[in-house]
Amino acid sequence: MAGFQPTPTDWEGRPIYSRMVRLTNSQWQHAVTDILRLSAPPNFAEGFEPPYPYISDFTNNERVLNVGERQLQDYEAAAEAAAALATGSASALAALSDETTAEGFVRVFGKRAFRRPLTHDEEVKYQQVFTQGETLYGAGFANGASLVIRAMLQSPEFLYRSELGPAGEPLNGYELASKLSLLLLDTTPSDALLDIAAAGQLDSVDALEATARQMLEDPRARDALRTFHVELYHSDASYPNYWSGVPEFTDALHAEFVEGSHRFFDDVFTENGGLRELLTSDRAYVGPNLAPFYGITPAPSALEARLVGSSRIGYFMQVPFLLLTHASIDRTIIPREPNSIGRGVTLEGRVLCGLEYGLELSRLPALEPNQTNRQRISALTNADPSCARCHQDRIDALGFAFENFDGFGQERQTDNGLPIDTSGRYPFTEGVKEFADGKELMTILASSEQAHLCYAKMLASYGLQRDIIEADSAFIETLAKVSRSGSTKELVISLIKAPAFRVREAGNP
Amino acid sequence: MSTALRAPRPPRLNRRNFLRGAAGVTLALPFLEGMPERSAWAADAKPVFSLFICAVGGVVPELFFPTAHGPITAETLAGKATVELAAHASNLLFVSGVSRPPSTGDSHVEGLCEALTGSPDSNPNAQIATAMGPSADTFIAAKVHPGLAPLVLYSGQRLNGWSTWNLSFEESGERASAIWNPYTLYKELIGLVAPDGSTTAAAEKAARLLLESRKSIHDLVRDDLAALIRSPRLSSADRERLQLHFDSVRDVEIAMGGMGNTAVERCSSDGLAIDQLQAMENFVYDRYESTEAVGKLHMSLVALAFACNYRRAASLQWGDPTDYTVYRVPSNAREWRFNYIQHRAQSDSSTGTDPLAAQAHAEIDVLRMRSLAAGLDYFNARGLRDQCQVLWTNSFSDGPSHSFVNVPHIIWGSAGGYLKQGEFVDAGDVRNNRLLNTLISAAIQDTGSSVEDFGQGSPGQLDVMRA
Repeated sequence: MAGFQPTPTDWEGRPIYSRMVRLTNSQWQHAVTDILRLSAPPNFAEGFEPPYPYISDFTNNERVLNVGERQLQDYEAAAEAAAALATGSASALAALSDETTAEGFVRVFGKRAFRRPLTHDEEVKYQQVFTQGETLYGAGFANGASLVIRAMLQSPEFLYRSELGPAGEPLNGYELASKLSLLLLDTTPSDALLDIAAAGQLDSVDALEATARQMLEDPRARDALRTFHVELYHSDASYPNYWSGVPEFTDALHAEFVEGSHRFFDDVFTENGGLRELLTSDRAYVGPNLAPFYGITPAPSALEARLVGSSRIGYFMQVPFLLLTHASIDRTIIPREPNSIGRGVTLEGRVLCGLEYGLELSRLPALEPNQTNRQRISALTNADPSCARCHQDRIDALGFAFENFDGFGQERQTDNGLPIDTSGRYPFTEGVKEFADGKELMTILASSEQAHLCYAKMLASYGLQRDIIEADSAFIETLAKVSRSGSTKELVISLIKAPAFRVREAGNP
Repeated sequence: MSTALRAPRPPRLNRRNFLRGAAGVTLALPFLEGMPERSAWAADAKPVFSLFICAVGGVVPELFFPTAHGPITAETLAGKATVELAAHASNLLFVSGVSRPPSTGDSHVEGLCEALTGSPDSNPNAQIATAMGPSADTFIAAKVHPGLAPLVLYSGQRLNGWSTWNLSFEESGERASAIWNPYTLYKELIGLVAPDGSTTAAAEKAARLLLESRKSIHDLVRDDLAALIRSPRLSSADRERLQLHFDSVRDVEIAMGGMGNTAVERCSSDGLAIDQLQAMENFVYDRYESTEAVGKLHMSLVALAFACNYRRAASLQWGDPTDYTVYRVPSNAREWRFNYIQHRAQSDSSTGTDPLAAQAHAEIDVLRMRSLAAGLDYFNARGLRDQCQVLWTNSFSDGPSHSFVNVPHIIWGSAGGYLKQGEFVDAGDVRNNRLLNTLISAAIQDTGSSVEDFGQGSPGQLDVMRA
């Protein structure tokens, strides 16, 4: 295609500016646990229809959160199970509510479920549901309460977080409480937060910020931001098809590198780190299964943060990432040969927000004598100009920086007996930069405008639950500046303070 | 951003999903526990259920069929054995002019083999037929419930004669295993002991309450959604999303309706002759009573299995190839076995002209049609009339000749609107493979496919049967 120029940053999102955003499965589970005061609930949401992959960058995106027939049945069955659990014993009922009347229960539980006080009409309606519960199942508070719980948990007022006020006006306190809590704690607002909202204490930006800062110190915020990083870098992927028949790839190893990635992300977040630390930290989590790949002896008996050598910095030079990107169409090169293209695609797409190009898989020819993996790949991707335009300067340039790590993520000194070339250059939006190896690339990325712009864009997309488009670019630039100088927490705070978070958008007509 | 992929269609509603409780917390439904996962029961693709009955022997044609082609009325049925089906007349389709491949061996066994395969018996002189392919029930089951065989049922004496069941065949042409005692199927469907020790009745009550309460919650949700959809502040995408939610509630409600005005009424043990079925635990075949009684019990259980979407296809062989049943009809005081009556002589190997036997045969036809009507009542009671097709055919057309020409074919149910109703039609002179093409296509219509070349013979369906 003549004149093809990859866009430095992909702005081709398709936001729909939902006024009604369905809870994610995880939010549903946490919210139900909290509002029913369940101490050790089963994972009701475990069997829920998972979000559809590949439609958006994150699974909390507005475009993937629908209620179809399957979800309806999921919610119905789970609501019944949860209601049975919450009303099935005297102790569960006592934990659920102090209220002893239908009126009181509907009012108190309804506020928790709907994240706002019920209207008069709603109170009347659900009192009738309470009565119907007793009619169907027999007199008794538990029977009435159970049906109310089932009904409320299936109501759109529970299932969707709404922003139905006038467009262009700030969200009201309850809307902000819900939005904050669901984003930062992955659950419904607490009674205390709803009280704060009712008192108007979220109405000013300063008050909102103060509340958000408190929330960010809650362990649940760490979990929520872990989800962001996991989805951003696909760190939980397992490529089961490629693992079969490779003896080194055990379930224990997979579990360990998933957990290791989680704890690395957690540390960066809780220790007030940000993208810079993600890219340049000299620590990684190493356990008994990962230690051999790092060459660490003796291996620790459990996961622990370790310095992992002078040749590695940041998440992308840790074994989990290097292992994860081993997958290739050609199983004969697994696992020893690195999948340089896969590594480059991930950096290009998820760290630099370049376009995620249409994937055209080609089988790599076998490695020839006196040929390195880099030479083999270059020979293939440079031969066709339509391939080279993306590979040569962008994808492969990034991927080859890790050529000194084999398909297992183990460091190597030679490739096919030949010296390894990890050098490259990349056309960042701020200009072309050259690097000698992966460490230099990570260091460049840690200061790169484009990388911070991308990180800010991704976090905004996650936080706003929508795609980001070019019209958002000024706002994203502002966030990127925060990212360059601050932590992920500060970035979150800036996002929450921004009008894009606090003010209702009109949505597409 | 990645290119959006088309979201896969979520699994469709089926009864097990419908009544499941997450983590097994809410429900203990022994009646449903045996229900395997199964395929579609969605509002836009309701399943069609198919029972194929083949009764051994022929009929007395002049005293069997309606007097004229066209609408089936009280007048056209008057004086015929099929007047016993008058209560079902508006849901019946009689088809004449359908024949089977000619006999080259033992017609008793061949007739059964050809009835649902549309092909000759490749081992025509043996006691056990070898078909040239699957029978229609097997074929349909494989299409709509892959991996789940049809219900293969048999009402006969089991090796107390020349041969036994020979109606249903697997893909390989091997005869399928058959359930001969309704108690076996009853146990399979109901389960005598609930997993939690509760009684079936208690579990059914729980299910009934559950459905009632669900319906009322659906009503609330639908009202809430309708109000939200009217909000002028929603974006078009919001409206579409809430409409999807709204439509899903409606679809679930319709699917509930598809299972019955209340699903429980259709898919429950209500209406089963529990005492009779339980008495079958120690069943000993009675040559006077058993064939008709067992046939009807089988039909009652198939109706239940269909209502629960437990199976989509079933076959039932009614009697033995050389049937030893002694029907107590007025003209059979001599207690001739049915095969002798067919032969009009007290012989299994030759035919005669005994007039009393002919009279007894006509009376047996009446009795059998009475049994069929009783069996159809079970299907009707479970609301299956528009989602079902029950075929009654015979292993040959009349008694003495054992002919395969113009074999009786009576179909109850519209098969989802696929078939004509209340009519007696003439197919001309066609092989039964074309009738089977039609019935199979009706049965699998929810899969979006049809069949034109089942069995042997000219391809195509019988348009004269189609609505």
